[in-house]
Amino acid sequence: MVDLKETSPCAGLLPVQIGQTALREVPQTPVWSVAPFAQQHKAVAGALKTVGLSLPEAGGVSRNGEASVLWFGHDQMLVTGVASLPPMPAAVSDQSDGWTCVRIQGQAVDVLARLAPVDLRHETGVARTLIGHMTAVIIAREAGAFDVMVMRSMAKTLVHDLTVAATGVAARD
Amino acid sequence: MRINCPVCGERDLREFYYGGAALKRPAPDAGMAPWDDYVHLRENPAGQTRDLWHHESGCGAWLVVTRNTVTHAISDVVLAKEVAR
Repeated sequence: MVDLKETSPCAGLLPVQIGQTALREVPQTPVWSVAPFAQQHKAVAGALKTVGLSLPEAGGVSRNGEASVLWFGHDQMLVTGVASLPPMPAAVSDQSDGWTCVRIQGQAVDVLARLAPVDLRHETGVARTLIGHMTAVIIAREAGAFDVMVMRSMAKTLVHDLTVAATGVAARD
Repeated sequence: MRINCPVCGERDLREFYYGGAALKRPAPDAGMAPWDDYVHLRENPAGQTRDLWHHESGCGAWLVVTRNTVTHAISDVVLAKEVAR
């Protein structure tokens, strides 16, 4: 049997430092998409409670240590950092390996302002929006940093877009 | 143009996709005239209009947007699933 080597989506592309902006890939964790069936939000909340998690508000995140539940759209959420989920009345799919997550530190707001049509200056939760022409999820982290998630097939495009934007921001310093 | 999504808040037009006029679907046995009207005939108003918009790059919700084609003012945005109820 061939022994395949595991590579992350941004392997060979990150980390980079451009001016005051640092880009690095966040290590991959298990990712579950959870979409509760109609009128089943309470039951799903109960099931998540058994693994120490709670349902986030629209545009919010609920965290417990390494695990988190990201709001991920209308009646949809993404559970990360949990190895397995209890049975629940929801459409659940394993999307581990499907996403890449890049952390932007430094002039993150200025860099993302060049790419995303949302005002991130006061963002504290999760925004589903665009990076250029690509759908993306932007998650506010501590100390002005942001995580940007895109499908793993878009990793190179994301790194390219962020690099060009960060270079433009750095040129103005 | 910015649309105030009931789920995400005010967002840029780039995140939305136009889904056509928000019409009431006739009953399956309504006959030829109402169905011809529903499928083919559209108003082209200078003034208030109701359209469907999809927040495709945001939360994914379908919205019914009431807007004015003359002033571009948006007077009402509701979730399409609430209108359908």
